[in-house]
Amino acid sequence: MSISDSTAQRYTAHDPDVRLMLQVRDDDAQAFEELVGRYQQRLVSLMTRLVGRRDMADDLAQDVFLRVYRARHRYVPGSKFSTWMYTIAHNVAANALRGLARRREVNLVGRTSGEQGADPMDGAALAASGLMPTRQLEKAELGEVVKMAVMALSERQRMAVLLNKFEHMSYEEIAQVMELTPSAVKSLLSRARANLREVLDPYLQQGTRVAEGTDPA
Amino acid sequence: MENSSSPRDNSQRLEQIVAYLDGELSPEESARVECQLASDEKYRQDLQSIDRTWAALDQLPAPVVGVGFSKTTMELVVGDAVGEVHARTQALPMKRRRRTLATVLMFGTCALLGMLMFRMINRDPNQRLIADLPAIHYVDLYTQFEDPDFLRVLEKTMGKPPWDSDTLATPLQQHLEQYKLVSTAETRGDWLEGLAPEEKSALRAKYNHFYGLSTAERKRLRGLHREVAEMGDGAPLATLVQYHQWLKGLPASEQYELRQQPTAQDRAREVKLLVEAKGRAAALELSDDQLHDLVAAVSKHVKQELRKRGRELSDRERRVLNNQDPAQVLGWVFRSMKQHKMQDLRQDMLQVLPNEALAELKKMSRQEFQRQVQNWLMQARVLVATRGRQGEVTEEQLEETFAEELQGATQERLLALPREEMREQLKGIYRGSDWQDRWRQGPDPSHLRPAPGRPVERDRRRGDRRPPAPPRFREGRDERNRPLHEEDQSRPHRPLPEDR
Repeated sequence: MSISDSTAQRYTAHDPDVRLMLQVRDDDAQAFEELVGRYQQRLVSLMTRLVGRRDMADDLAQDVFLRVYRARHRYVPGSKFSTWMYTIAHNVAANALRGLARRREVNLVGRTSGEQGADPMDGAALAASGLMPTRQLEKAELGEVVKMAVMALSERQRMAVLLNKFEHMSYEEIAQVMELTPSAVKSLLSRARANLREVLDPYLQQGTRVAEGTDPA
Repeated sequence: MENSSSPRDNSQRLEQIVAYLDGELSPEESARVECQLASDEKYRQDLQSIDRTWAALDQLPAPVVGVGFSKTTMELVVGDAVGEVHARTQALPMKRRRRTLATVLMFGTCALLGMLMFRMINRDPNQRLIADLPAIHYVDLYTQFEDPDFLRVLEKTMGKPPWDSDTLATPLQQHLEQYKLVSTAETRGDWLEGLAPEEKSALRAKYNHFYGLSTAERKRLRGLHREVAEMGDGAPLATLVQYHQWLKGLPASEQYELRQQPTAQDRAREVKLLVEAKGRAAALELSDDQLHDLVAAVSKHVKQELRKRGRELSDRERRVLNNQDPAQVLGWVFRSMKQHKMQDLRQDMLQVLPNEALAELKKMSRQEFQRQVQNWLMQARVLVATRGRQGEVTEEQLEETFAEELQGATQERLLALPREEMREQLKGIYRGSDWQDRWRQGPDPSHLRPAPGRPVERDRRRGDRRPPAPPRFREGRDERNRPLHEEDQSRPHRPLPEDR
């Protein structure tokens, strides 16, 4: 898709990261290093939450940076830099998840994988409701529950949720990254939130087990 | 859900709440959601639960990037960059060669395409000339007939020898060779190179003539040439070149009349009549010197007559004859012959005539013979009357001389010459050469008729008789009918000798 000069000028003027990337395009190593510094935390976090494995996140994030570097000479500012980079990240993560699925290495519940059922959603609900007693949930434990709930989402719902929640992307930007329409993103996010609510809301509200449907004491 | 709404309604309701929380609704849609929130408890609870679980995502563990991440990333990138540079350096000569080759190919292709386009748009006139050279060079010839069979008919009609020997100023073989040079694609270029400037100029006129014809006619002429060329070196080809040489000496009007003949047989018959007529006219055409000798013979006879019958002459006749003005004397002889007087002058005149003229005279009746002699005397009078004209000659004087003093055959002969040569000859005729002196001195023995059997040597000097049309290049066929300047297309009627 061709990008008009006016679009490129607009993004160059308003996005400092675009200007940095243009310097990278001109083989400016310092500019690239600065970009890495700016995005490494966000990218590693995204990858960790996407694939659910910290040990893979660094490699995937570095792969993304490497692809950004290799694509520098073809770069044309047709969007915000983050949008362009997360498009690459989305592809890298999708490839990694497909690889994990093929090797049956996906561990949706992490260290508690031995206790969950075949359906991740069921496992997450069980973990959130049955394994942790009411009001005894520590912050770290809550994090684990939320993590399991997120990992129970489909890959596409998870990506949309993470980009919306942690990268503060609009529906239109998410659509650009995931190559969808904004209305599709709207529907995708709606279903993802419904799923999250189904797992998390009963516990957050009452600490009861969803699977049993009992009222709190 | 627990209410009675359909799953579709619930889905839309949820999408609306999520979009509202994400700030993706328009102000109007947001206002509607807020109204709903104010009035619908369940709606409000849905929104709160969605918002609560969304806020819980903040509890997701945030991984901390190691201090070495940035360093290892840069090392990774630098290592990749080094590999990239190395690969590029290794591939550089090949790439350069490919680039150079691609550049050369690109330029070559562009040049070729450009040349092809240019030639398509503006086809080289020289290429057209070379391609169509036979049809162009022989355009006057090929426009004369439609079918190669005409040549066989013409050959049969004309018999052998078909043409007056004067028709071919250069040998037949030479014309045949030229025809082959022009017809052969490989030799056309060399033939063109060897042309003199005036010949090129004439060829340009033919080129313009050829491309002034209709497309169909051009196609016909090309096809006709191919058919003729395929006939080979036989008699039809010889007839073709002889016919061409003869045709070139023909006035445009007569060429036109030939073209209008309905059939090949009619055209061939007309050609034969014209050839014979022109042969007779040529035999009876005397050179200036021969005319002078004729006049000298008349002068000698007049002096004898004056001595013998002086007393029988009237005073006026004696004054004329004693006056020694050749024009007046010739006028007296002319009138006397018209009155069938001076019959013995015939033998004196026959002594000075060339063999060809004598042969033609023998075929004539008495009346035709007398008319021919009177014709010669009229020509002699004109020459004598114009003697001694010197200095600059104006265009008007030349035109007047051409129109009023020359016979038709002489006019045609002059018109067949290149323009400048025609002008020079006409000036010579106008000035009358040295007739005055010759008249007074009497006949030149060297110009007297030779003994029977001895061929007459024709004086090729200015004004002498020449073949009707030696093969020459002219500026264009239309020039033939333009005596001195282009605007003068019409010639005055040539009066018969008896009319003068």
